Amino acid sequence: MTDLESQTVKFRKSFSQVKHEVQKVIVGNEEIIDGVITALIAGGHVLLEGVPGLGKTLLVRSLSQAVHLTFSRIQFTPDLMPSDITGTNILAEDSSGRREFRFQPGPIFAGMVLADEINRATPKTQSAMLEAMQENAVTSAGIKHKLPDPFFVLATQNPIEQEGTYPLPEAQLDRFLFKLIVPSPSYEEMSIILDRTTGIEVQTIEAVIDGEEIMQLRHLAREVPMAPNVKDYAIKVALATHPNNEGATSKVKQYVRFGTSPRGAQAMIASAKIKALVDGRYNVSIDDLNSVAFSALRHRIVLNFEGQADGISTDEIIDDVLKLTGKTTQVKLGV
Amino acid sequence: MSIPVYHSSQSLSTAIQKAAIRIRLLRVLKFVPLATAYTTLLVSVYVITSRLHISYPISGYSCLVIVLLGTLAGLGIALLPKLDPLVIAKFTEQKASLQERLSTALQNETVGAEEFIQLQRQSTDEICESLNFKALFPLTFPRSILAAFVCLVVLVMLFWLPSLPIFWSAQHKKDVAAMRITGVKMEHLANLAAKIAKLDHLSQTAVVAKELKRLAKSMQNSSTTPEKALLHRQVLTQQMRQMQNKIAHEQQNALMNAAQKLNQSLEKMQSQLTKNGNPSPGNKGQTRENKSTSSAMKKALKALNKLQQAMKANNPAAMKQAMQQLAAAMKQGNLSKSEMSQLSQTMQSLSNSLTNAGSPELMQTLQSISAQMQAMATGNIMSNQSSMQALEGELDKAGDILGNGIPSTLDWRALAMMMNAMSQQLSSSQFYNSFMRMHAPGKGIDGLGARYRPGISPKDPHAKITLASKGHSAGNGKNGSLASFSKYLHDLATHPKVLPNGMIAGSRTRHGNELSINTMGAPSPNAMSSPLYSAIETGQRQAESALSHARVPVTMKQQVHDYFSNLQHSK
Repeated sequence: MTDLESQTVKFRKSFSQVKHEVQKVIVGNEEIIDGVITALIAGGHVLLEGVPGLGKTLLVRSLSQAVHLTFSRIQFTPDLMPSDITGTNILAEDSSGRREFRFQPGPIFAGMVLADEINRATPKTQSAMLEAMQENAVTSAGIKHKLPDPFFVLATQNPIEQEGTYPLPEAQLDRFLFKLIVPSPSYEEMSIILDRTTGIEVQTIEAVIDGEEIMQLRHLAREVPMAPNVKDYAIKVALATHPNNEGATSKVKQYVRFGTSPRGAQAMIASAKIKALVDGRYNVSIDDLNSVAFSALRHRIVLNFEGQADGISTDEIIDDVLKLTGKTTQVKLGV
Repeated sequence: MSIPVYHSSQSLSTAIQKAAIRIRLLRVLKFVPLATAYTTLLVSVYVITSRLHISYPISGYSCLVIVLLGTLAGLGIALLPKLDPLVIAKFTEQKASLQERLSTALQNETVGAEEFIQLQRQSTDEICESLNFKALFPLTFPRSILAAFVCLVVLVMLFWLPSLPIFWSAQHKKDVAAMRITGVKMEHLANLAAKIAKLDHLSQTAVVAKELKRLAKSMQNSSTTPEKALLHRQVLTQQMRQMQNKIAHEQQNALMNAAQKLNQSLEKMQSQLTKNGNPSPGNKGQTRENKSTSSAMKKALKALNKLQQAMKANNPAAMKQAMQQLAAAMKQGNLSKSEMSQLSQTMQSLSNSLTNAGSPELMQTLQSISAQMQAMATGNIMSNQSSMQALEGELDKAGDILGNGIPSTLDWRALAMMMNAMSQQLSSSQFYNSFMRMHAPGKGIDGLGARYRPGISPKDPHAKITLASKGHSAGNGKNGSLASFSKYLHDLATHPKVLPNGMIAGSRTRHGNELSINTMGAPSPNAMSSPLYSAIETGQRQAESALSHARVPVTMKQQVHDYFSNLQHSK
């Protein structure tokens, strides 16, 4: 077995270990868990959306326990200030009685940050996350403070409580690699949840991976080769979400105001590479792209008024785009 | 646009080659029957429209050619498009759910990931070696083959079913039944003609009888269609006419030649008699000694003169009478040896000149007469009662042969009789009537490609009916003249298996929905039922009647008129 092969084996093992640890606490939601771990390895951030009580926060806490990273939780509220997140310069006195301004890092200075109910904060506070999420750094009083690497933000938001909330601006949404919709549990899942949470036994999660290993996995995933036709497919899908593009579907033309940014295609490819490795392949397939397309694109497509009025979801748009683009890439030799 | 460069390993190349072969085979299996089915379907639709007289008729051979062309087109579609290795790789991936492994290994353009590419190639090679192409591209029996088969069966049925009696129309059934009855009658006629031909050694009649019998058999067995049978009969009649013309021409020539020779012999004899001091038959200053001799000789010369005239006019009765007169002259006797010798030479000359008349018996009789006369002249036999009786008998025999008509004349008459009989049979049969009735528009003679020309108004009384060969545009370049139809019949007779193009003039009935053809058939039955001895008069009347009704060029009319006038005059 070559070194690369052993690395890929280790990749799969690490992925499955983290997943296993999280699944000790989280019942079901396998896709959500996969998505969160994928985003962690890919170096992206995740926006978790779901009604209260579905275990979003628990999922993040479980993940933070499974990976050996510093964890901090920020409960977003309307009166939360940006400095409450990023940190601020405070007047401090040393032992000699000399006073000086010293930067006091905020809760964002952690390997894994849970931005709980992010849409409850004002846009001003929300935008404080922009630099941190994109550049892994915080600038305060003209001084740039580097965030730990890896830096992973998991934000949650509630789609039903719109009163007193501030929807995330497009620029902020675009920073998230994935937007994962947490579904309600099924009957079987609910049964297991009840058994686990109302009994005596408490599941303990062990840290199976640290930040350095995550960085190694990230580096390995980026090396996975991708055929030009697969890359071509990703580009076509991304462009097809734009209503003015030639490849746009009728739904896109009718209901979409803005399509995805290049970050959407980047997110698809980066996460598809991880999925290929997890599946034991050394190449990215179109199926990999399709499987991550919804998570990577749904928050990057902006519907127009007609789309919103008709209750169209971005998932419907993506589904339409994937079907059409898939047809164009299908080889038909008449047999 | 740059040409892609593929870096495939041995296993991958082999896999792609195998996949390409299977894909080609599958394409052949699919497209060849599919193209055949579509082509057959289209041809079937066309055949149906032609059966409904909406479109021009199409032959089975043409259908076969079109279907074969369709099959070839299908083969071309299956084999001609070039299959790019990348396309094959992608297609195989789709079939085997290989998740772009083959196409990635083939392209591997990712930069800076050489190790991964090697690993990916190895993985792909392993997969390629484990691929089961028979299971991946199974050569199953496609439904298109069944469709093609069904379409072909339908097409064959479209041609075959109408030929089955169960699908015949009531009119067609009547026609076929009438044709069979006519076939039986025609066979009787052919047998009779063959018997006569055998008895009288009539070579031309024997040929026609054989042909007629063959036609009669095919009509009885329904191995031909009523329309084809009638056309065949028309051709046969035409051939018989040509034979008759040939016989008449040869006989006329032979008799004319013989008459000319006889005339020369008579002139020579006359000059010889004059030289010997004998007066001519009309000379009043003759001596007593020569008077009795001259009387017999005079009668002989007169008879020979009459024979010469009769031969010139081709008048059998007159010829017989002349020979009887010659016999009477010989019976009178008292011919000198020199006179007898001269007469012998004349008979020998006559015999020689009738070589081409086609009667060996006549020649033999005339030679026998000549020999007997010569023997009497040289004194080898005595001119007694018995020898003279023998000579008289021979002369009577020659007279009978000439009077009854020499065999070639019998041939001519036998042919005429056959034509008459055929005409009688056909004109009295339903078969003939149905043939003469052509429905319009569009209802022509099935199988012969005949149809009403759509460009002509149904009210037009001079509509043209087209007879066209299979595979040719109907009546192309034909003007419907009689000459055109004659050429059609001639071509049909020369190459009976290939129906040539033709167009004949027709006329409409007062109802405007039927067409009839003006044909030159055999003489009318009533006229030809007259005795053989009045055949010339009847023939002339019939010929002139036919000529007056048909569209015959003036020169041809004149020729026929002259021919019969000559016969009448000579009579």
